[in-house]
Amino acid sequence: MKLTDIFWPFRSDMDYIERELDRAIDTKEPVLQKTSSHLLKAGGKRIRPVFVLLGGKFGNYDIERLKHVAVSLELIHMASLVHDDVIDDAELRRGKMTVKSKWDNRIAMYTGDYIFARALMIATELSNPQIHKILSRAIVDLCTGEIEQIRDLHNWNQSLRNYLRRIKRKTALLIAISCQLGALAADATPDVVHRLYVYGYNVGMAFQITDDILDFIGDEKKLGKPAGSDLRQGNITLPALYMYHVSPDARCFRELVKENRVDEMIRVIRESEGIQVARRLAERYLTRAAQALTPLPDNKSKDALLKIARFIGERQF
Amino acid sequence: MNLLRHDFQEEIKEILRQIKENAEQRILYQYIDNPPISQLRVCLLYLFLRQCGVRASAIRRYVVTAMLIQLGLDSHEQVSLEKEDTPLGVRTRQLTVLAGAYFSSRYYYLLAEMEDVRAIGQLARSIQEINEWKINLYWENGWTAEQYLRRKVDIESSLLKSFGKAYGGEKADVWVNIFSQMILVEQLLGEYKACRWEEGAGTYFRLLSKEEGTHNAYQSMLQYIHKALHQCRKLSALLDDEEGRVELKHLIDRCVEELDNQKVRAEEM
Repeated sequence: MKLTDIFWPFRSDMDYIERELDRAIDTKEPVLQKTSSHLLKAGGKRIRPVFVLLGGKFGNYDIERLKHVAVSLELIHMASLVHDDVIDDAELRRGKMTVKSKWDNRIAMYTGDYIFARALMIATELSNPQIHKILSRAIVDLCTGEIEQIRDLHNWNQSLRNYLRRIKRKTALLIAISCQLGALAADATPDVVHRLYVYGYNVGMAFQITDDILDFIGDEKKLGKPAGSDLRQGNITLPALYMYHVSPDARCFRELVKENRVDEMIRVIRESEGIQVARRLAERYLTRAAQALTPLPDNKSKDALLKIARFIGERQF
Repeated sequence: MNLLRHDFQEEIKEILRQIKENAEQRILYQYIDNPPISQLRVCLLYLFLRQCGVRASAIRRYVVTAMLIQLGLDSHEQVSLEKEDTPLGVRTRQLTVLAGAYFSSRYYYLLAEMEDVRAIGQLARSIQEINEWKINLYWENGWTAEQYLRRKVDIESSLLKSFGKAYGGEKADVWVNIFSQMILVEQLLGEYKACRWEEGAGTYFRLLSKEEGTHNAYQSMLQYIHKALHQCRKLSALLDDEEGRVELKHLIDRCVEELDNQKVRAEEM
């Protein structure tokens, strides 16, 4: 199953969103035009806009209203990626040069700030203050999550709770509010809005945990980055935390950590039960995601949401 | 001390306190210094909004959010261009990026809590404009000193001017000009200080030196500052409100004082 198959019924509206994304970053400043469209052209799953549209299907679906939410969320995500590449000193993203490597850090900062401003301008086309309260809180939490990730770099003593809170802020929240805001913008009932939030949160948690698993065991070519790159940067994720704290081989593993033998650490984690433990946790989140949708009417959109959840559980990149 | 003056100063103190409170993130302080907050801009915006009859709680929120945006943008100016290979260098770069993002996110949060969607859009438009200008200024070559300075003033005064246009009414043009001139003074004072006291003169001074020679560049800059201050005084006389005129005069006098202090230090050396 591919995401493109799940998105197929929405292709017309997604093509429209893609054109709106293009339009959104349009500027007369030629360098900024190139830099801001650089990441857009590199593609992406566009999973957040899809969630917005799917959320909207549970209310009064109006693409002219939903596009403001879909486009602004995707732009916020894009802006954070441009800045993340400066943070991580990344040369490549999705197989292409990052903005910071093709131009420089300064240009990347200006580009990210520009895209973020455009995102907010588009969001303010919707006057519903509730939308802005939800979106702004999520962005603050996203930033806080990123700052906490830096704080927790190389921190092997962090708890599982720490890790889960971090990935909630870093990833799950934006997905949760994608679903939630789509429903809100479509004037869905509060119960539906809440259920979609819960679905999105659980899918987002599973998405990030799966990402963290794939960082160890995924195919480098499909991932677009070397295996174990999280650990090399000091980002301690769930499989690594399991090895350090819980695994029967924890003592030996801690020796590797002490001696900073990263290649061996990666190899050990790849072959360890930590991967399975993480997978099982991701599955639990996906089960909760599906449960959140149970009371909702059976229709194509619900079906699509369930398929996306399954895809996330099964994905290889 | 005049009671109104005292109130003004107490308000400014409170606004500065709220800015610091909203910019607080413990881990950031361990690695980075926040960019300085321009008290001049805080005072100018506060004065302007009070003149327009904006209610006190809203004035505080607007000034705080505008300064948080400024802090965010200024933080991002500090992101290193060099390849950092020390752990401290890497951490500093990372947190400088995130600090800027965090401060900017707080602006959106504060205005969203106020349900002021219009102001969110107004300031976002300004941020858009600022970054368009910044990239243009940074990437393009061949600027004259005057062109460079004008563009810098556009960039640095954009946030204030956005309020000027939104709230100024009949006096919008006067206030937009006041903001421009005061920011021009601020920029020139900063350039003057940098070329005298810090390694690496500012870009404007370097461009001006190429055009006029170093000695003439100093003189030109001083003349320019005096001209801008004179223009500020003329503009402040156009304001209807006496309190506003008095406070603006104080701000201009402080700039003159700052300039005189710089000159005295130069002579001592």
